[in-house]
This record gives sequence, C-alpha cells and structure tokens, in this order.
Amino acid sequence: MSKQTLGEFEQLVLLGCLRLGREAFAGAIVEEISRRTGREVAHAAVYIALRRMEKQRLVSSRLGEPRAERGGRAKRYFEVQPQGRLLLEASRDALLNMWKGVESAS
Amino acid sequence: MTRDEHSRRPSLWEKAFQALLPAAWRQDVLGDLEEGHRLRWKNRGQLAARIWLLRQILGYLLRLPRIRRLARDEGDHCRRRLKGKGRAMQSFVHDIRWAVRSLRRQPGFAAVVTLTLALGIGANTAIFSLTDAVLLRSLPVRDPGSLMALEGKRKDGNVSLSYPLLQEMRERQTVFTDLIADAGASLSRVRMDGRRLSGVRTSSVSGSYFTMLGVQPFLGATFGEEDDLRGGKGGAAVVSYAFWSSRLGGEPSALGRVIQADGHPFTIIGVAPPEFFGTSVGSRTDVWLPMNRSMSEDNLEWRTGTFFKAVGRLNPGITPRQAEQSLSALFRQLLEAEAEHGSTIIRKGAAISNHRIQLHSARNGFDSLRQAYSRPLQVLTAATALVLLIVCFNVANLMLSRAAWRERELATRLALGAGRLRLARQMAMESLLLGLVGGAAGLIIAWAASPLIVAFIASPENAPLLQLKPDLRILGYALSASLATGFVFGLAPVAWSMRRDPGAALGTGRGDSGPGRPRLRLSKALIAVQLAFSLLLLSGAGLLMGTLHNLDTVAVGIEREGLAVARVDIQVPEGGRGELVRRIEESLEAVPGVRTASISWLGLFSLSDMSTTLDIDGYQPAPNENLSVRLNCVSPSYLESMGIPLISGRPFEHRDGEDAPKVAHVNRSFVQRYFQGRSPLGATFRLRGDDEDVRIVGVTEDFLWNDLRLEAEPIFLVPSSQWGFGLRSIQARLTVPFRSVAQPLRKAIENLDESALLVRLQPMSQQLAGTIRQERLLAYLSGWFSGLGTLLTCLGLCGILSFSVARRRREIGVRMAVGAARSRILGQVLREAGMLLIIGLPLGLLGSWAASRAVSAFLFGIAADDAGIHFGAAALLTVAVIAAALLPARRAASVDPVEVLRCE
Repeated sequence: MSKQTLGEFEQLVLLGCLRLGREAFAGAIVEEISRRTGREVAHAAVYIALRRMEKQRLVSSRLGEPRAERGGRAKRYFEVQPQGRLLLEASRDALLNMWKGVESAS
Repeated sequence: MTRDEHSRRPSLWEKAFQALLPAAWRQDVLGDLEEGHRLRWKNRGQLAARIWLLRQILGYLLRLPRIRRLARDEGDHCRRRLKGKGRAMQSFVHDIRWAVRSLRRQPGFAAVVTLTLALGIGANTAIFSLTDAVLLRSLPVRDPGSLMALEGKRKDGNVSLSYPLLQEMRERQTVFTDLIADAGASLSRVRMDGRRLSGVRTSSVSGSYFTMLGVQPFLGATFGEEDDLRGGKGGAAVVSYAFWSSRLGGEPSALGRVIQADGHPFTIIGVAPPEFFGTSVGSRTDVWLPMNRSMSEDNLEWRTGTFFKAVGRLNPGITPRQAEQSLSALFRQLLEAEAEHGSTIIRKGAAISNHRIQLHSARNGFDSLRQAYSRPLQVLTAATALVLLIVCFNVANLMLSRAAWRERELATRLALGAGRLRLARQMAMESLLLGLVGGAAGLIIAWAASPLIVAFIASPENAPLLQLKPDLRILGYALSASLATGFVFGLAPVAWSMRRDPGAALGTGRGDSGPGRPRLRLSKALIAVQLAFSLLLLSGAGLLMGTLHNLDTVAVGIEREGLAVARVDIQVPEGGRGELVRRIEESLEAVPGVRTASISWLGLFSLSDMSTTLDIDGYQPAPNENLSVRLNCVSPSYLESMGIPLISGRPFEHRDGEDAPKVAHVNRSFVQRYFQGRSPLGATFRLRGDDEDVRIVGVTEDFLWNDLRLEAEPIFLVPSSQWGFGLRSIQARLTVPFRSVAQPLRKAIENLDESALLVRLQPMSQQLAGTIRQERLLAYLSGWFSGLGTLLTCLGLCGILSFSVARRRREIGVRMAVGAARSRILGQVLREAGMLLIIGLPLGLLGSWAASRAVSAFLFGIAADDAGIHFGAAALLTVAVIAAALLPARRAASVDPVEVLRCE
C-alpha cells in the first residue's frame, strides 16, 4: 500500500462519489456534500479534485448522453476505482486509530 | 415559471468563461453549472440562482492557475488567451521579422513591388491632397457645419441679393444667430506711410464678420459691429497673417499703423490667424475692412445689382429646410416692399411668388475654384483609382509568381506541421509591409509632385493658398490607401496558397508545368483586366488631349502671339476723355518694343462681360427676340493692336470725340445677323434707353469674347472717348519678346496717371491659357496617368510571360530538340500576349465607351465616341503589348535545347 493519504476534502468528494454510485457527477457530489455536511463547497473545488484524482487513477470518468436541461451538454460521471477505495479506507482507518482512546477520555 | 425563463442566461459570461476553460473540461463543467442554476432557479428563485452561478464562476476564476497546471498535465492545450498577451506579441514580432528576412532575400522583387506601389499610391495621394485642399477642407472657423450660404433664386435663374436687402433680412430673420455680407477680395489702391503698396487685396465685410465666424485674432483684436457704423469712411482694419508677416515685417508694432485704402485711413487693430483666409478658398485677402466704412455709398445703396456673398449661422435646432422656408417668405415680403418703392432687382413682370432663398452648406466656404475643379478632380480621382487598381493587380501577380516559386518551401512547412493560418498570416504580413513601404515612398512622390499639379490651377490670386502641405489627413489617406492596396493584392496569393494541397506541391518539381496552371490562369485574367483598364485610361486621355489641342488652336480672331495685355483701373476725369485716351496711347507706344498700344473698357478673355439691348434701324426683330449684344468701348488703335482685321469702313480716330457724332464698329456676325444682305456702313442703331443715333462706320472680322468653346457672336465696338465707360484693359502689340518689355511697360502703365492701378500684366497667350486651366490639368494629368497605367500593365505582362516561359523551359527545349523552329516558339509567346489582348481590348473598348460619357462635358471639337481616338488608343496599347511581349518571346526562342536536355 502506498503511503499516500487523502486530504479531508478529497475524502468528502470520494465518499460523495461512492454514495451516489452510478449517478455521481460533479454537480450531484456538490449537492450531496452540502446536504450531508451543511458545507457549501465550490463546484470548481470539487471538479478540480475529481480531475486530479482521475489523473492519479483514484477515480475514472465516462461521458453520458447530452441532455436538454444542460443546454445540450453531456454529463461526466465519475466512479471510484479500487485504488481510490483502498486509499479512502486507509484514511478512515488512520483517523479511527488516532481517535481510539481520545473518545473515551472525553 | 417556464422552462424558457430558466434557460435565459447571460451568454456573454458563458463565452468568456468557456474560453478560459481547457477544452476537455468545458462541456461537463458548463453543463453542471447550467443544471445547478436551473435547479436553484426553480427552488429558490432567480436571484439566488444568479448569485450561486456567479459564485461558482468566481470559484473557477480564482483557481485558474491550478486549472492551467492540471490541464497542461492532462496534455490539453488551453486557448492562446490563457497563455497571455506576451506570446501573441512575440509571434507578431516573429512574423514581421520573417517577412523582412524573406523580402531581403529577394531585394529585386521587393524593389519592383515597392516602386510600383509608390507610383500608384503617389498618384492617388497627390490628387487627393489637391482634392482635399480645393474641395474637402472645412473653413478654419468655429463650428463650420452650421454655416449656410444664401442664394436668391427665381424660376429661371439666380437673383442677386443686394446689400440693403441683406441688411433688412438680417434685422427681420429669426433662423440665424447672425447673417454677414462679404464683398469678396479685390485689388485696392493702398498706401502706407505715403508709399504705394501694390497688389494688396482688400475685402469689405460686415462688422460682425469675425465674431460670427468665431475667428480669434492672432494678434490684437478684430473689429465688431460698433466699428461698422454708417457715416464717414475709414476706421479699423484687420490684416491677414501672411500680409502682416511679409509686408509689415511681422512686428507687433504693426498694430496701430494706418493704411490708406482707396483714400480712406484705416488703423490696423489686429492680425488674423495664419490658417484663416476668409470665406473663399483660393482667393487671398490681405486686409479686411468694415463694410459700411469702406464701401462707397452708391454700392451700399445699390438695389439692382450686387456682388455680395451672404453667410448665416443656423440657430441651434433649426434645419436648413426650415430656414429656407422662413427666409424665402421673408425674401418675398422684402421684394414686394421694394417693388412698391420702384427700385428693385426683380425683372419687370416677373412674379414675386417665384422667388425664394436657397441655402447651401458653407462648411467649406465659397469657392470659384471648387466650382471650376470639382468635376475635373472627380475625373482625375477616378483615373488614379484605376491606376491604383492596375498597381494592385500587378503586385498581386508578382506575389502570385513569388508564391509559386516558394511553393515547395510553403508545402514543406505545411507538411512539417505549420498551421495554414500561420502561413497565411506571414504572407499577409509581407503584403502589409510592402504596402506600407510603398505607401511611404508614394507619399514622397506625392509631395514632390503636388507643386507641379498645383501649377496647373494656380493663378496669382490663389497661389499662396494652394501650397499643399503634408498633414494628418493626407498621411491618413496614404496610409489607408497602402493598407487597402496591401490587403487587396495580398489576399490573392494567400487565398491561393491556402487552397493548395501540400502533397501535390511536394510531389512535383519546379520545372513542371502542371501545378502552375491555375495560378497562371488567374494571373492572365488579372492582366486582361489591366489591359482593359489601360485602354480606358488611354482613350480618356486621348479625348482630353484632343480637346486641349483643339482649344489651343481654335481661331480666336485675334493675333495671340506678340500681344501683351494688362488689367488696369484708371480713374477718368469729367471731360477730357479724348485727351486722356490719346495720352495713354502715346505714352505706351513710346515704350521701346511696343508697336501699337490701345486701351479699352473690357479685356478679351478676362471674364468680364457686358451686353446691351439695341434698336437697329431696318431690322424687324421677331417677337420675344433678345436683341442683347455684347459691346466694348475701345481706343482708336484697338483693332490694330489686337490684330483684328477691319473688313470695310474706317478705323476710329481721335476726331471721334465727345462732341462728334457717335460711331461704332460691328463684327461680321453682327452684320450676318442683323443686316442680311444689306450694307451696314452708314446704318444706325440706338442703345435702348438712349436717344442718340450710333452710326456704323466699320465692319471687323469675327473674334471670340471670353470662351474659346463658343462660336463668334455679334459684337459692336464704340470709341472710348465718346462713352463714359471705364478704362480697364490695355493691349500692346509688341515687336520684342514679352519678357524684355514687361518691366518698362509696367513702369509706363503705373506712371500713366496718379490713379492708375495695375492689376496684372501678361502675354495674351497666357491670358488665353488661363481660361482653359481645367482642360490643361485634365489633359496633362490624364495623359500621365494613362501612360503610367499602360507602363505598369506592360511590365506586369512582361513579368507573367517571362515567368510562364521560365516554367516551360523544359517543354520548349524538348520541342526545339524535336525540330520546332525558333520563329514558331517566338510566335507562340506572342500569341499568348495576343490572346490577352483579344480578351482585354473589347472589355476596354466597352468600358471606355461607357466612361467617355463622364468626360463628355469637358470635350471640345471631338465626340465622346470618336472612333479614331478609341481605336487609336487600342492600337497604341497593342503596340505596347507586343513590345512588352517581345522580351520574353525572344528569351523563349533563345532556349538552348542541348542545355535543357543535359539538365534533364
């Protein structure tokens, strides 16, 4: 396993992607994050993160059909790749390990 | 809320934003944003949706550096704009360098193109600078656009506006902020410090002249209405900058000095600004005087004639049409009032309701020069435009040839991945560069040539005003002409090379005749059109030169050579006219080199004119026949000095004095018209309104009056000593060349009398030439331009044929090797030129037939469709084309087949 870990924002994006499954595109991920965390995130931030992770092969993308409500533009759907999933779990494990003991103390 | 309203988004942001995004990102990012925007609009309203959208865009803009980095890593090239201005500038500089380098590699080509362009642009700019000076330049006054010149009109012509009428109009009109009168510049008797100043032109103008025009003095002050009150003569004067600097030493102390104009003292109170010349272009004024203080009372009260020009400045918000209507109504009221008093300008029986005022824009001032030259200048502008087109086609051809020579270079670059756009841009840059260099050279040619052109239309009155100085307008014109030319000729090769398939060019050798074919066809088509244009220019020039020749040689009825004429003004005392006339004749004839001298009222071809209505005994005029006949009042030696033969009767003598019976000479046309078959000698007639009989004592040959284009008309002459007309023109028959007698003659004239004022002394031939300046300008310049056009066309033809021969060298060599005779090869090239002529000549003949109508108004003694001229021009062009084709033809015939085959 690589030593690479994910930042918090990247984790949010990847999780959003996982939750949405086959319907995960940048706009929906933005909505998902804001609904679940109450945080307003910029579309640009999410999209850039997705493109960067795609370059790192953590996610893959495919273009859908052009849609009228998008002005005739196609949607790019993102899917988390095994490598991404592994990294995400590793990040979670790292956090959980760090939380151990801290929880009971509080 | 409908769907359509959701989708109504600002499209500008989208375009700008889209341009900033990497291409691969655009579709899904914009799609996401649009979808999000639509959703928010539906749920939270328009404002919230807009704010959200703006925030998202801002989010992208803030992250642009990261986006760029990421996109570059992705291998996606962002748009050039993302790369910044520096890059574009760099490639622009690179293009210029490339163009300069590639032109320097072929200095001969660059020189030929530059020279060709310089000639075309120079000719155009020279004509434009003249057009600009004569026709286009606005008066250097405040808001020239609102100045209007007034003209009185009736159904069948013009009505002059007398000074009293203008004054009344000025007081009662409501459409102008002010209305001024200008008597125009004329030579005056001016003295300063007791010395006589010769050649000073004064203008009498309304008191509010300078304030109304908004002219600020260069020095001192201008006069105002308070300086123009009636009662007494003399007062304030404003001098022109030129007069101040040349005649008053340019000293500020000139203010306050007194000049005597026509005997009245005027104090110089100001100097007009250098650029201000009055309201007439091409008519110089040295001193402006207030109207009421300088004009004679007679002139100020004169209601039946006038020489005043009137200019008004429109009130804001009043259109010229409204002003015309209002002024016309006022004009008719004033005329009616005049008619009641008896003294009026309107003709007896003419209905006042026909009279009206017409307004013209006075933005450019009044101008006899403009009236005379606007049509000729239009013709010349058209001619130079044709020359420029020929130049464009020529250069386009040269560029095409060059592009073909560089075919392989360009094809290689294309094949190596150079963008077609980039190549086209570089070639366009080359054209532009050539255009600019050619334009700069053309500007120099124009500046050198314009004095020569001005010399055609310059007269002593306007010469100082027509010094064409380079200014921004002319620079701008030359620049736009160069750019337009560069664009036109540059377009053809660019378009052609853009269409070329690099593979085809790479696959063929330079010696092959194949790929050049379509290009050659285009070149030849251009040459054919050039030939047509040249023919058009040549036949136009032929017609105009024929006209000039006809005018120069038309029988005037006087001996033009060896005759000096002077315009003078000599005040005639009451009584003693006969004595004065005799003294003048005698003292002029005493000048060595003068054989006979005479003085008369009017000078021939001096544009002065007078006619009067006669009652001729024994002649029954037809109803409504106009018995108005020209007359002149002459001294006894008039006929002899002018060289007009006396057919019968006796000359005037000094005994035909004031108290002797009145006598007259009539000319041949007079006799033919009014004495069909009868002998005129001894017959009598009377001037209408005069009871005294005038007896005809002599008949002269016909002679022309003012216009070389007109047939001889009836004229009668009466002795100066019997009639109270002025003494305005001196004629001296010389035995020596004019130049050697000019100085003593000038002195003798000035010493004739204390009042004698010499306006101008010149040979008659020059005076005649002065009446056909337009024709001379047209003939010479059109001759020049047609020669230039033909020369350029022939050079172009020579170039194209040479190119075609060079390309077909191998073919020619092979044909000669298998036995083709040299004469056959020669004939073939000449035939090629002949084909171009066959296409070009009919086109040109058709064009010149149509265009000759445009110049028909200028022609004299020659018809616009004169077959001799048109076919003569065609023949001339044919000869020129054959001469131009001979060089490449001989080169083709001298191809050495052995050498060609060895090269193969």
